[in-house]
Formats: sequence, C-alpha cells, structure tokens
Amino acid sequence: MFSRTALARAFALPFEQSARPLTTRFGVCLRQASTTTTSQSHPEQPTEPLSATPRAQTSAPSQQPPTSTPSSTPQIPASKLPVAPAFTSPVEVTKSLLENLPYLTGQKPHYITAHLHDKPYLLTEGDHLRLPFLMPNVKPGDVLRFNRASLLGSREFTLKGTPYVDERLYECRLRVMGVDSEPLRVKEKTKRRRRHVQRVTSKHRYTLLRVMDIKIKTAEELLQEGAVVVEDGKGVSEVEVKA
Amino acid sequence: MPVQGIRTVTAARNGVGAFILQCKRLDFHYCDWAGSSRGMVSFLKNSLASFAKANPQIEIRVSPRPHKHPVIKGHYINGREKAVCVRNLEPEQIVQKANLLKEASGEKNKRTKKPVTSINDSVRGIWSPFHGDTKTV
Amino acid sequence: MRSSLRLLNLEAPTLQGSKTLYVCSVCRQETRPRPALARQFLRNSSTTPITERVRRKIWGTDSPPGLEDPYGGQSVLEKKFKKDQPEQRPQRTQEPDDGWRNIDEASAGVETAPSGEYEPATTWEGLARVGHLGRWTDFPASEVDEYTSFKSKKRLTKPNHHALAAHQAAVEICLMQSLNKPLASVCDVVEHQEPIFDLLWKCRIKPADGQWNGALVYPDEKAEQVLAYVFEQIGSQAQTESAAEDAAEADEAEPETVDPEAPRSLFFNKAHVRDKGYLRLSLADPATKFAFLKRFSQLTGHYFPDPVINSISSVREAIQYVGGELSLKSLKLDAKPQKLGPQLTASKTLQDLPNVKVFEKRQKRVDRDEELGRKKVIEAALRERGLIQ
Repeated sequence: MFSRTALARAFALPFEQSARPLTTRFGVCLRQASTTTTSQSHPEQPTEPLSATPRAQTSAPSQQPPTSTPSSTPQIPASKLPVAPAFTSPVEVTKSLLENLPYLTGQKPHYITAHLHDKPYLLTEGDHLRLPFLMPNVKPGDVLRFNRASLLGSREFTLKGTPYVDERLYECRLRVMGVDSEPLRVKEKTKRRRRHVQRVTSKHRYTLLRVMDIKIKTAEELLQEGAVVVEDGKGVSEVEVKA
Repeated sequence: MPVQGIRTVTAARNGVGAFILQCKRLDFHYCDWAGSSRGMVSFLKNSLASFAKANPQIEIRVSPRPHKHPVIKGHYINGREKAVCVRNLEPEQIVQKANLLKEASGEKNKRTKKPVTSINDSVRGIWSPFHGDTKTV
Repeated sequence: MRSSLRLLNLEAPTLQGSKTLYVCSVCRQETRPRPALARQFLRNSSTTPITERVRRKIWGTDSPPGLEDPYGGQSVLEKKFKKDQPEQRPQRTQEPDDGWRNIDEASAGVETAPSGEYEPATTWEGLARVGHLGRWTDFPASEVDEYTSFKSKKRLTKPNHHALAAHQAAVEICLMQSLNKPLASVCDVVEHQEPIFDLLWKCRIKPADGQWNGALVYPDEKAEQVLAYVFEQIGSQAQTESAAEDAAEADEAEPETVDPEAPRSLFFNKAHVRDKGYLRLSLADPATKFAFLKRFSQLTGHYFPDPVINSISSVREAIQYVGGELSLKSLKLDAKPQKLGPQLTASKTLQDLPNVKVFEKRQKRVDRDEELGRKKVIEAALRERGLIQ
C-alpha cells in the first residue's frame, strides 16, 4: 500500500509543479504556446496580455533551461515569433457565470468541443487527435493552443458558447506528436465499353496531436486577470446544469 | 481478503506531460559495391552529420549491408519498426525519407474515420433512461 | 490399287488392313470409291499420280518440296517392320563415317535423289555440310581456324628495344601524316625490310612543342623519296588516280612484309636510337595517340589497358609504361574503391556527435543479442545442450 501511494505521489508531482507559477519560464512557454495559435489574430497591439498559466515542460527537445531563457530569445526566427494576443477590451463575465463557474471548475474531468477549421472535436485530456489534414509548419514537439471552443463541460455542467466561448476563460493545449500516414488508396476508374481500368492512387498524411491539458479558469483567476463583471445579458456564455 | 489485481496507476501517455519523439533510432544501411546505394553513400558522406546534429534525440546507426539495396530503418518507442528502401534515390530524397521516418508515429498505417481516440471514460457518463425529464407518451 | 485413287479411299485400305476392327458391310461399301468418280480421275491419269499433280499445281513448280506422297505411303512404324523386305523406292547410299545419321535413316530413305542437270534441293540430304553437330574437336584444324595475333608474340623487355620501336612507330606515323593517309594503316605492314628500316632508323624527329606536323627530318633527299614511295603503297590506295598501277607494283613489291616464319633479328641488330626528339612528341590528339599506341603495341607486344591509354599524354610516358616505370598503381588507376565505413569512422564531425554510431561490419543477429545482453545466456544454453562446443 505504501508503495502505491508513494508512486501516486510521484506521479502527481509534475502536476503540482505545473500549478506553481514559474515566472522564469513564462516567456518561453507563452511564446511556444501561442506560436501556432490557430486563429483570431488581430493586427492591433495588445492592451492586455494573454494570461496563460505557465506549465512545466520537462522534456521538450527545443526547450531551453530556465536560466538561458533571455539568451534564447533572439534565436527564435521571425516566422516563429508569437502572434501577439490582441484584445481590445477585458473579458466580460456575467454574475450568473461567476456564481456557477466554481461548480464547473471544481468538477473534474473536463471536456471541450474545440473547433479547428470549423470542425468540432470533442476532446478530453490525454486524447489522441488525428487531424484530417497535414498541418503545415509544425514539427513534432510543438504545442498548439486551441482557442475556439463551443462547449466546455464536466459531468454535470456545461459552459456553452454563443457561438464560441471567450478564449480567455480556458486553456486547451495540444502537442504535435508526429505525422501519420494511411495505406495507399487505389481508386479504380472505368469508362463504359472500354476494357481499361485506370488506377488512381493517393496516400494522405495527417498530423497527430495529443491533448495536453484542458483547464477552465476559476472565477478568482478571471477576476485577477481583470475580468469585468457585467449584468446578465445576451452574448455572454452561460453555465448550464445538466438536465 | 480477496485477491485483487494491481490497478494501473497510469497509462503511458507520451506528450501529455513530457514529450519524447516516437522515433528512437534510425538505422542506415548501405552497400559499398552496389550502384543503388550511390545516393545513400553520398548522403552518409555529406549530410548525415547535419541530420544527426539536427536530431540529437534520435540514435543513428550506420552499418553496411552488402549485396542489398540501401535501407533506412526506424525504431519506435512502441516497439515497432519501419523500413524504407531507398534504392537509386538521390541524397535529397533520402533526407525526405529520413524525415518521414523521424516524424512517423511508428503505428501501422491505418485508415481511420474518427479523428479522436480516447482512453478516458466518458466525461458526462453513460446515458441512462432513468435520468432527466420523464418522458410522456 | 492405283495410286491415283489413294487419295479418294483413304479410309478403305486402313480399315481393310486392320483386321481387328470389325466394319459392317454398308459402311465398307460407303467408303469404297464411286466408280463414276473414279473414272473421272482415271481419264486424266498419266504416269504421275494425282496427288503429285495436285501438289505441283499448288506449288506452281514441277518439283514441289516435301514428300512425294504426303497422305498415303507407309508410316515410319510400318517401314520399320518391313525393313527386311525389299523396298520399292531407290535407297540413298549412307555416308559411312557419321554414326548420328543412322538415327534418321528411315526418314532419309524416303527421299528421292535429285536427278537431272539442276534441281533445287528441297531437303538437306546430300548437300555439303557446314558446321558440326558434335565432336568438332576431333576434326583437324582448317585454314580458317588458324589465328595470328596482332601483337608480336614476344614481348620486348629491353629499354633500347622499346626506344627503337617507339622511334620507328613515330617516324612511320609522321610519314603517314605527311602523306595524308590514314595513320592507323601503318600496322598493315608488320615489319619492314632492312633497307627501309635503315632509312626509318636514320630519320630524326625534331618536334616543335610536341607537334607531329613537320617534325620529321630525313637523312637525305633520296631517303625521302624512297620512304614516300614505300609508304604511299600502304593502306587504302583507292584515293589516287594511279591506284591500279600502284596495286600492281604493290603486288610485286610485297617483299615489304617479311615472311613471318623466318628467324627474326630484332630491329636488325640496331642497338640504339640516334636522337631523342621523338620522346617529346605529344599524344594529345586522340587519332594520333591511337595510331601510335596501336603500332607501338604491335611492335613491342605490350598491351595498353584503357585507363592507361587515357592517362598517357606523350611518347615518353608510353615508353615508361612499357618499361614498367609507370604502372596502374603509380597512375592510381587500379585503386580499389574506398569503403565508406572507415571513412565515416575517421570523420571528425561524426565522431563528435554522441548519437551517431558507425559500424564497419554488417550487423547480424549475434550483434543484437550481444547488445541486449543475452548473448552469453544463449551461448550458455546452447553449450548446455551440446549444440556448440
């Protein structure tokens, strides 16, 4: 019994570390995370930083040690520089959302319906996602942050977006695992009355992703980041209790 | 006390916390004599060093394989291996093939329809007729 | 039965012949030839049978190829059984020496002998034989079997002989060049007569920048005329108008070529070449190079491999190669292709990389066992079972 608990504790350790804010790694983590952020890149300069809780990334090959973070900054090529978060106004949360959010955040695990190229993917933590296409300009080890979600939920509560949930309410990160391929497809094409069969072959490649974490921010975090509380109204996400 | 099986504490989920490249080893085989290895030999002479430097996490082994076509073999952390025959290929094409093996997941090529595969339990639970609104006929 | 009717009643004689088969009388009557029909054919009958006439008509000649009576006649087996009986057709006389012919003796006997003034042969029988069907080694060598090698049978080893040969070849090719004739045709004359060789030997070569044109210096006017006359006859003579006369002269002037069986004194006991100018001749022009090396090879009996021919650039180098000072090794032409393994192991950049491992030998299963640490266990288990010592 003892050994098992020790083991569990050992495995839990990384998560505890991850919860601790590591300010030194913040820059790198944010940069890498937002490097390949998929959409909603506005040209305006940020008025407020995209606050994302940093994560300990232990073995990413391109990861620099914390001490060398400043020196590594100029090495990032211009094409890989992060897309600056562009929000003109702070996130607005309604009172009812603030009231119900602790129920959602307190109930693990969470799922997310993330949209990528307008296709929904229902994801939980640790899932494999094989995109139906080959994502360009990514290599294994890269971290993507999905910022389009229509649903966020746990067993009994769901945060519904109208149509999408504000991306500052949650964090969903995925790791690029590699590129997968499919068996060669052979399409046989025939014409009538012609004894000739044309065989068209194709072999597609797909990007493999893995969901690293799905985190819904708590009410305190939101307020700390400068969320503005507004009256209940339209256009703001609502938490629904499972009927 | 009844006999209990040891429950799995965790399943290995590479990439959730730490990330290890799926490809752990690449074997480059060539033949000194055969002409189909010409591109491979040129690749090994000229661009192997840069390839190895760019991928320090992959072990690279070079060994001759006389009287056979040149082959790149990738060994993956799931225990499988993938081999690509690179006979009569140019060095640039061989670099492409090596990159392909490097990025591959090591799984057998399968055609899947569902994009998401999960080992987690359903978050919202299994549907039950006794929950929710009572249906009126 | 008349042979002209044989085509018509093909069935009947065979049925009659085979006693074992019973054929009813109606069928037998039906297969019999109709008298009216038979008479029709009989009307035109002559000494030649109808089958033969039909064949002649088909082929359009009086001597159609193939068997005289392809449909009737006796089968091979029948002939074999009736061997001791006297045969109607004239039998061809067998050639006594060839045993293999006896095999198709039976089929050979069928053929008729070609008679008359000229008849085109339809089969191989009785024709002159070309080639062998076996045991050719037992026959004596014929005229065409003899082989005379292009090069001299004896390889010259002494350096002064090499020099003499090179000088002679150079002078000859210079002459051919001045006469504007194909250079390589100097090889048509294997060896010159002594006075001509003397004249050749007396010639000097003074090349300007290794050029062959105008490099030749004759000893005197007369020598120039004689050599020009002699070399005019070498090679193709169709270009000049006086080709016919020249040919006639060449026939009587054949003594240029020496009888090969006569005992031959090397270069007529000339010891040395008098000048060294020929050494500087350049072999840059491929045609000249080819002609020179061909003649030189013919005179000395040395063979020039292709890579050497490629690398040689002057007469001096050709002599050096023949003398053994230059060799394939010194020209670095026989170098074995280097193996990649040692090159990779030696390369510094790869050594510095910690993730690269280079093996010079093929990796076998044993190596994998050893790497995984189970080789000893496997060996111990095998030894325990007595499978290895």
